[in-house]
Amino acid sequence: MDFRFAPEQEEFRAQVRAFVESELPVEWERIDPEGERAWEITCEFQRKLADKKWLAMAWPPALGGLGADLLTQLIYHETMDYYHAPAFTMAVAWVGPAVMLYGNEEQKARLLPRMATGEDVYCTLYSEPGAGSDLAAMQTKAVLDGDDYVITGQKVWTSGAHHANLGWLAARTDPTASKHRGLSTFVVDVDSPGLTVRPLINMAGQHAFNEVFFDGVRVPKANLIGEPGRGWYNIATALEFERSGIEWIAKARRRLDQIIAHVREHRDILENNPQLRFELADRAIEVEVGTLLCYRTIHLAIQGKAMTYEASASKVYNSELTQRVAQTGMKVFGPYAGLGRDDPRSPLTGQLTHSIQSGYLWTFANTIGAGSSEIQRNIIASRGLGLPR
Amino acid sequence: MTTGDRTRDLYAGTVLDDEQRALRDMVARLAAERYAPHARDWDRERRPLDVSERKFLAGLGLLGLTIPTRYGGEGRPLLEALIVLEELAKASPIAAWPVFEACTGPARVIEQFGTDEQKARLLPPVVAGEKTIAVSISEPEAGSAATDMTTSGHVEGDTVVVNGVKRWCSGAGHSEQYLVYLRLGEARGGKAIGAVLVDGDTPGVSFGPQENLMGFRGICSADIFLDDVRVPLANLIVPAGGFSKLFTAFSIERLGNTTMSLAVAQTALDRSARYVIERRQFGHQVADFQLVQGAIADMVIRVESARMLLYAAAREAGTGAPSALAASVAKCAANEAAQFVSGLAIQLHGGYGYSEEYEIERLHRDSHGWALAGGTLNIQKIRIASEYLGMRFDQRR
Repeated sequence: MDFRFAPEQEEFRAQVRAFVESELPVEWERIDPEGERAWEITCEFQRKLADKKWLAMAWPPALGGLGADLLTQLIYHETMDYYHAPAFTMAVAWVGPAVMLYGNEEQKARLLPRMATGEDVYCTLYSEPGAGSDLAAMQTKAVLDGDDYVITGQKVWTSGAHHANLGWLAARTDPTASKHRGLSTFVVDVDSPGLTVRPLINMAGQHAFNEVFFDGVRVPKANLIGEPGRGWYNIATALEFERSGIEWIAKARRRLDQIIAHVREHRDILENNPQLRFELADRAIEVEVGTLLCYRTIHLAIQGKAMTYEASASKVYNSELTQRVAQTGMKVFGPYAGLGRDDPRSPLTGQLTHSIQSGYLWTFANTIGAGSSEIQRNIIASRGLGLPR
Repeated sequence: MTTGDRTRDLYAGTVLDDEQRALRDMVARLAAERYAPHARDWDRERRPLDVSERKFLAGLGLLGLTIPTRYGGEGRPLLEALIVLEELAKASPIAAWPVFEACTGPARVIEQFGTDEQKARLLPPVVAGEKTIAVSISEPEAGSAATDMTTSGHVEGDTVVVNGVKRWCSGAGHSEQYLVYLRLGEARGGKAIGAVLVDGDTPGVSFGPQENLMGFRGICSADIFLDDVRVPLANLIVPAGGFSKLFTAFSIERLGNTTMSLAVAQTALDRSARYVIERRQFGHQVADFQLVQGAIADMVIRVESARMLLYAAAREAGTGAPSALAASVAKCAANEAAQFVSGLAIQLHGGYGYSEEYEIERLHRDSHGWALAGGTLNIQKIRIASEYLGMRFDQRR
């Protein structure tokens, strides 16, 4: 058993770190992460990543990647997420992999290279007002009419729809089939007539997600991805890619490192809050545990072994850990933690993409999105432990 | 469904008499009709309660519940004020704020430790809703370590000259008067600390910009700058050496804080209970799922235990102050219950809980404010251990 990365992997990690330090503007950690300037920086940074073929590094070279192995990709994401660098795209994370598995050759050639360059920005159109945890209950309809499907319905909690030019959509093509068998997946142009994006403000007071309304939106048949009626299985695969994410644990580790560094320098914090010594020790243990849970999912994927509950275990543990780390941060900084990033007394100003406060509030999304903790626990209990339903 | 629902009225059902129940129902109705519809906008706009609304509450007798009758109040037990406070806070903490200040806040310090002259002069305007008194203890370099405060008062004839900077004063900039804790002599630690009442419009008093806090929006908070502020000696409420008295009275405020937290927890539970019955997924009410049942049960246990501790402390207080131990135990339990229950409420509501439009998230943001105000959780725990063990701890060694 060897828990170390190989020297060349550590060298790659250093290379990624150096790239972030030289290419990500210092202002990134001072500005509103949902503001216009942040989006400009995101686009610019992703263009540079695309130039290095890093944005989709695990994809084959013909599609704009480097054919990198999964461990290299893990190191890349772990390092980027540690610095909160905008290196992630939904297109590369799950739309592309689904298109590779289920799309036809024309679609692959048309869609994938533009995902790898970041030219096309995708949002994911799954959840609906009546279809949250029960995702397969979605009612948005897609009706074939000549060469187009006509889409009618409503999606909700659509992250980044206000930045996206394309959407990865699941909709019901067969209302007579059972609910898992009547869905199909599409790529839809966000600028289509009849498609409306309305902002929703989240708990942190920021515009990150949206409602998306479809009123007779026409999508060419050529944008149906995979067979009609197989949509549920296409998105189930895509959700697996989403759940194995390293981002929570990498971000939690950074936040904890920053808090610990601050407490070391400010003796009065522990003088006034002696219990925090032990709380910080607990968080440090948990970050190591969470890291290993996440590495295990990658290890299984590298060996080509089927994942049953491991990704869910990593997701539930690490998303909940982000909340505990953020909560510890709230305690460390006391009333100052409640201040917004625009206040110069806000703790760790200039070192965080999110203030302590908004970082804490954001973590509430982690246990809800991409399959809530309740759904993950059910998967662990039934598929992992073989417990009766 | 509120605590007024008899089947869910667990501990309260065994404690409250008919009159207290009627008071609770009356205020609950008033709050639901008059304040709940505005709660979200007031939070978003960070807007304090209008003075006219404060006078309306005064007209109902709600600002003088715990003030003795000879000063215009009703002289009722603390528990009854807390019942009123909870019902208002369940609709909007902003609407509850004047009752919090008048019935559990600095007015009670004056009521407990002021002279007859001070009480007769200062309490009737509070009862009438003409003035709100805020309390100001923390400073930039004195938060949890309150006795590190440096704001000073020097007596010159019949005047106290006050200098210093205060921070995290809830109500700052909006309240008419401030009970300022300050250092009245050279002795170190708590020995020289006392309190004076400062009118907000006295020359030399100025306020920093309103804080943009995570919670408590609409309950103002700002720095207070005191620059050679001349306060009549008649406004010296607690002379040097009265620090322990100040903290006796502060135990009353801690039960107000406990109540505000309990209101957050109870509302989060009530709304979750309604949601898991209404919301359907997988062809079932969400309440049919065992994890959801477990979450609701945990919420009920936390809310009811916090309520028991609060009522126990309040009944012990009668018309006076509770013990420091009972107040800190109740405050910790309710602060943690509010954070836990409102956090679970977000989770149970899914995206709706996380979105600003549905007001569940506001409950959680506020829960953090109450856990910091009136002594943080960690400080309460140190006090609980200290009182329980009969030991004094110096965190600076």
